[in-house]
Amino acid sequence: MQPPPWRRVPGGPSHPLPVPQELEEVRRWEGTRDVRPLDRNVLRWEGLLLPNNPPYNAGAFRFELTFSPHHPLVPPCATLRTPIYHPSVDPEGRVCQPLTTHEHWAPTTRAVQVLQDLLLLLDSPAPQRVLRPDLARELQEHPEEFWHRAREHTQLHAEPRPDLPGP
Amino acid sequence: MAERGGNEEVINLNSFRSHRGKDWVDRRNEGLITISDSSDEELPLLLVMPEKQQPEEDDDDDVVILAETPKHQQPLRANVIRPAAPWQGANTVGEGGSKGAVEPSRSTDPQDGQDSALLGQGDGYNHVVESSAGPSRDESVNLALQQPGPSELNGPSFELTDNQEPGPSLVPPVKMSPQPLVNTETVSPENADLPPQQEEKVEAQGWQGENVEPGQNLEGAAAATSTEQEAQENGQPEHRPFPALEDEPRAVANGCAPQQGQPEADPGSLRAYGENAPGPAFPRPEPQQDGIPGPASPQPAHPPEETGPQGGRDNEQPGPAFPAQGSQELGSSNVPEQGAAGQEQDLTALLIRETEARFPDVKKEYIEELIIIKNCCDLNVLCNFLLENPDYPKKEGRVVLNPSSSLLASQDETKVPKVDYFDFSKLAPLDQRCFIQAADLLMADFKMLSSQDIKWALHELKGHYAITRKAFSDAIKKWQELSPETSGKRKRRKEMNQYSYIDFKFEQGDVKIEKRMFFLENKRRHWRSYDKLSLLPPVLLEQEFYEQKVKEMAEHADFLLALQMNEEQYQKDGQMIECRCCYGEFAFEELTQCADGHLFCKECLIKYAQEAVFGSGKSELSCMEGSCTCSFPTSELEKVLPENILCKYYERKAEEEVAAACADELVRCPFCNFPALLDNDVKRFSCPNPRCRKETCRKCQGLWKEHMNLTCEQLAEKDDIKYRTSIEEKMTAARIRKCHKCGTGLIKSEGCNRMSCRCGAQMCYLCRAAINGYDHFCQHPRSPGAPCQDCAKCSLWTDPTEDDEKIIQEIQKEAEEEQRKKNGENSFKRIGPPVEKPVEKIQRIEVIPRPVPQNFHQPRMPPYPFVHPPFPLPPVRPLYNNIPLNIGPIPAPYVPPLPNMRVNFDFPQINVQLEPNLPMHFGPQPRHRF
Repeated sequence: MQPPPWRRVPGGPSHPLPVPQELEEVRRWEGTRDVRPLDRNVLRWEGLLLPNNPPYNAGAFRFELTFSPHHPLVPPCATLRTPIYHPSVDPEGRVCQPLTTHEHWAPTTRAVQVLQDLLLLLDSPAPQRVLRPDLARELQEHPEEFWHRAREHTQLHAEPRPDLPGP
Repeated sequence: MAERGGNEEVINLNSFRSHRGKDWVDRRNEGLITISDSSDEELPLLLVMPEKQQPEEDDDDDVVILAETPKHQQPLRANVIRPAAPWQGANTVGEGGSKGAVEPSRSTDPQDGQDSALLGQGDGYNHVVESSAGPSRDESVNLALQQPGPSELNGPSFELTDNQEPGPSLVPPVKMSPQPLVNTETVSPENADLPPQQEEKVEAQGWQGENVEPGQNLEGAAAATSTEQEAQENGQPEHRPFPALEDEPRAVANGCAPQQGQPEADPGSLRAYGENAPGPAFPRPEPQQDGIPGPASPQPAHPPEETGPQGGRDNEQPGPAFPAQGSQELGSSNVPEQGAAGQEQDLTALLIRETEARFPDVKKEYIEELIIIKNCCDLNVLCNFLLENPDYPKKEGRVVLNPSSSLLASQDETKVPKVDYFDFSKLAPLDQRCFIQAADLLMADFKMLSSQDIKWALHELKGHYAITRKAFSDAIKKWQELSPETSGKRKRRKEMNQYSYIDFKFEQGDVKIEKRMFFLENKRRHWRSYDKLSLLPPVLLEQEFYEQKVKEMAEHADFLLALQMNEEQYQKDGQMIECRCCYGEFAFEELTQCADGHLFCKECLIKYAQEAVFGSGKSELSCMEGSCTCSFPTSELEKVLPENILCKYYERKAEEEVAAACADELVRCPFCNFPALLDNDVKRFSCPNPRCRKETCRKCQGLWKEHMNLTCEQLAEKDDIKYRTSIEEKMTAARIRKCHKCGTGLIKSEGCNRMSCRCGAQMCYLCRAAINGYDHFCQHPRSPGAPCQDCAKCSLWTDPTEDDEKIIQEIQKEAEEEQRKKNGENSFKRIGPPVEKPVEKIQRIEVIPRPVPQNFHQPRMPPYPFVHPPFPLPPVRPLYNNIPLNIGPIPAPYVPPLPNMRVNFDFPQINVQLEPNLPMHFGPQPRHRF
C-alpha cells in the first residue's frame, strides 16, 4: 500500500521539491530566456540573462543556477558562464550575492528572486561589492574607458539576445 | 455499555464514511429524533435476541464466515476489538447507517427484516457516536441502559406526550423481524430481567419520530399527580440537554428523552443512576454457542401482525415529531405547584453531576454556587457559562477525563504483554493443554474453517493462538479483497465456486507455510468455549495480546482513513493550502506555523530544523519567510519535530546560549571535551565528567599533576615534544579565528573577509574585530593586493593564507630562535610542519584580454593528441571443442568516449591562455557552498 501523503517519511524522496514550480515561475519572467535544467538535472539550471541597461544589454549572458539537494532550505548558487566586464563578477564567473548566503537566505526565497537580484547586479555596476577591484577602480576613475571596454567586451563575448533580431 | 464501547470504533468510521456522502445531512436530521430514545431502540433488540452472540452471523452470511467473533473479549475491556473496523464491520454498519438515514421509517417488509435489524443497529451506533462527542458519553449511554430500571415512571411521561396524538398504542419495535434470529445483540442481564410489560414500553421507537407509548403501560401509573410531576420533570430536562451535542435543536430533542426526567422522580433511582454512571461495563452473558436463541429468551418473537400497525403508523408520520414541546409547556405550567425543596435538591445534584460529567475539572462547589446564586437551573446555561469563562476554579489533582477511554486503557495495557506474540522466531512451543484450548478458541473464531485445517495451522505455528489467528485473519482479509462481491450476497456461501477457499499463508523470516483451505459447507455448530478463568494463562495472554493488537490496527486504520477523508474533503472544496516553502498543497492539519502565522508544511519544518541543527545553519529556528522576524513557537516545534531533532535542537541552543553568555569562563576538558564554567582566576580545571575526572591546566592544558610548581612554559620545556606541540598549536591558532560571541573557531576557506559565525555574529577576518555589515571595509576601488591610498580600513578581499602565513612564520621563527639560544645550534630541531616547497601559485587564468580588441595573437592551445586508445578485446573464454565453457554474460567492451568532444572533464589543467572567444567553459566548476 502506498503511504498516504501525510505519512511520508520526512526528507524522503517523495517530499516535493519546489524546483519545477520555480522553473515555471522563472520562465514566466521576461528577464531570462531559455531556462532549462542542465544535463537533465533539475537541480542545475542554465539560461540566458537579458540585462536592461547599457552596456550589457547588447547581449545575453548565460548563467548557471545550482540548487542544493536540500533546496529550498539551503541557498542556491548562481554563476555567470559568459565572460563579462563587470566589477562584481570575478573572472571565473562568481558573483557576490548576499541573498544566497546562509545568513540572508530564507527558504521562501524563490529562484526567480535570485535571478532578479543577479540581473540587478549586472545592470548597475557599482564600486561596492567588488570582486575585481581593478575594474572598479577603472569605473571610478575613467568611467568612459570602462563603459567603452565593457561594451566592446559584451559585443565580443555575450551571446546574441534572443528577443532582438540578430545584427 | 460494553456493547457501546465495542461498537465505537466501527461507528467512528461509519460516521466518517457518511460524512462524505450526501446522506450525511439526512442523517443529521434523523438524529434529531434519534437521540431522545437511543436506549429504547437498542434495548428491544437486546431483549428480543438475548442469546445470540455473533451479531453479523445471521445478518449476512458471507460476512459471518469471516467475522471473528469478538464476544469473549468483551468482559475484559469494554471497547476491545470489533472485528477490525475497516474490514467488514465498517461496511456492514455503514450500510445500515446510511440506510437508516435514507429511509427513516422502519420497513415492514419481512424481507427487509434483516436489514432493518441491521438498521436498528446502525442507528444505535449513531447515537453512540453522537453522544460520545463529549465527555458525557458514558453518562448518556448509561442513562440509556439504565432507563428501563425504574419501571413505571416512564409511562406517564410518555402518556403526556402521547396525548397529542392518541394513535395506535402498542408499538413493539423489533417484531417486524421475521426471524427471531436476526437480532444479534447480546443482552445485558439487567435488561433481561425486566418484566415483559415494561419491556414493551421501553421498546417504543422514539427514534422513529413517535414518542407514542403503548396505552396499556400508562394505565397503571396514570395517577394524576404523579403524571403532573412527571410532566414537570419531563419539562425540566428540556432545559438542560447534553451540551456535548453540537446543535441546539438536537439538544432539545434530546432533552425530551424520558430518561432524563426519571431519576428525579425517584430519589432512589437517582442514586442508582449515580452509582451506575461511572460503572465501566455491564456484565455480559456467557457467549452462546450456536446463535439460536434459547427457550429462556425472555422476549419471544412478537406476533407478526404487530408489525403492521407500526409500519402503517410510521408511514403516516415519517417526519420527526417534536412531542417535547407539548410536554414542556405542560411541565412549566406545573412547576409552581410541585416545586418541593427536596426535588430542588435532587435537581441541583443532578445538575452538578451532569455538569461535572462535561467539565470534569470544575470544582463542585463552584457549580453549586453557580446554580444557587446565579439561579441557573439550565444545564445549557451552566455549560455555556463555563465554556465562556474557562478560568473557573479547578479541582486539584489530575483529572482523568474519561477513565474508560481506550487511549488510557491501551497505554496501561501495552505494558503488560512484553512478548511480541506475532514474532514467530521468539515463540516457544506450547504444551498440549494450551494447544487444545487455542484450537478450541480458533474453532470458535473461524467457524467456516475445518478443524483439521485449524489444528494443522496451529501446530505449524507452535500452538500459539495469537499468531495463528492473525494468519487466519490475514488470509480471510485477502480473500475478501479478492472476491468480487464483498458486499455480501448470501447466496455465495452455498455455491462452491472459486472463492470458497482461502489461501492460508504464513511467512516470517525463513518460515513459510502455505495451504489452501476450503470453507466448510455449513458453519460449525458446536464448539467448546471457555470463560476467562478457565483459560490457561499463556492462552489468555495471547488472546489479550491479539485483541490489543487488532484494536490498535483498527485504530490506526481509522486514523488514516480519517486523515484521508479530511484531505479529500479539503481537496474537493479547494481548500488546500500551499506550503510557502515547498509549494506543496496540504490540508490545514498538515501545516505548522510560525508565531506570525506563516504556514509551512510539517515536513519542511522538520527539514529546516534538521538543517539548522545538524547542518551549518543557524541554531535559531526563525520563520522560513525571509521578511518575517518571528521564530517558531516551542509548542509547534514540539508538535512537529521528531524527538531526536528536538533534543539536539535544545541541546545546541542551550550550548550556544551558555557559550555566548560566558565565553571566557567556558572551559572544555582537553581530554573528554566536557564543558564547564570556570572562574577567570582559576587555573586548575578539574573535569566534572565522572568518567574523566582529570585535572588539567586551563592555560596549557597539561596535566595538573605534572604542572605542580612549574609555569606552563617550564612544563612545556620539560618535554621537548610538548614544547614543540605547544608552539605548533600556537601556529595553528593563528589561523583560527574565534567568534567573539560564542567562541566557535572559524577558518576561512574562501570568500571575503567579512566572517559570519553560525551564531550570527560577524567579524573581520583580518583584524578580528566584531563588525556589522560591510562598513568596516575599505570601499575604495584599487588594484588587487595594493593597499588603499585613501583610507586605512581593512580590505574586503585579501588572500587569507598570506596574512596567516606571515603570523605563523613569525611564531615559528621566534620559537626557533629561542630554542637555538638555549640549546645551541647543534640540537636544533625544526618547529612546525616539515618544510615543503611552497606551492607555486598558478597564475589565475586571465580570460578577459585587456585591452580587449587587439590581442588576438596568443599562443594557440596545443592540439590535443587525438589518439584513440585501442579497443580492449572481449575476454577470451576457455573453449572446449569450440564450445565455450562456463557461459556467462560477457561484458561489453568498454568504448571510451570520442575525444573530439567539446568538454573534457578530465582535461588536465593547462596553463595556457584560452582562446578568447571560447565559451566560458574554463576552470573547475565554482565550488558550491553546500
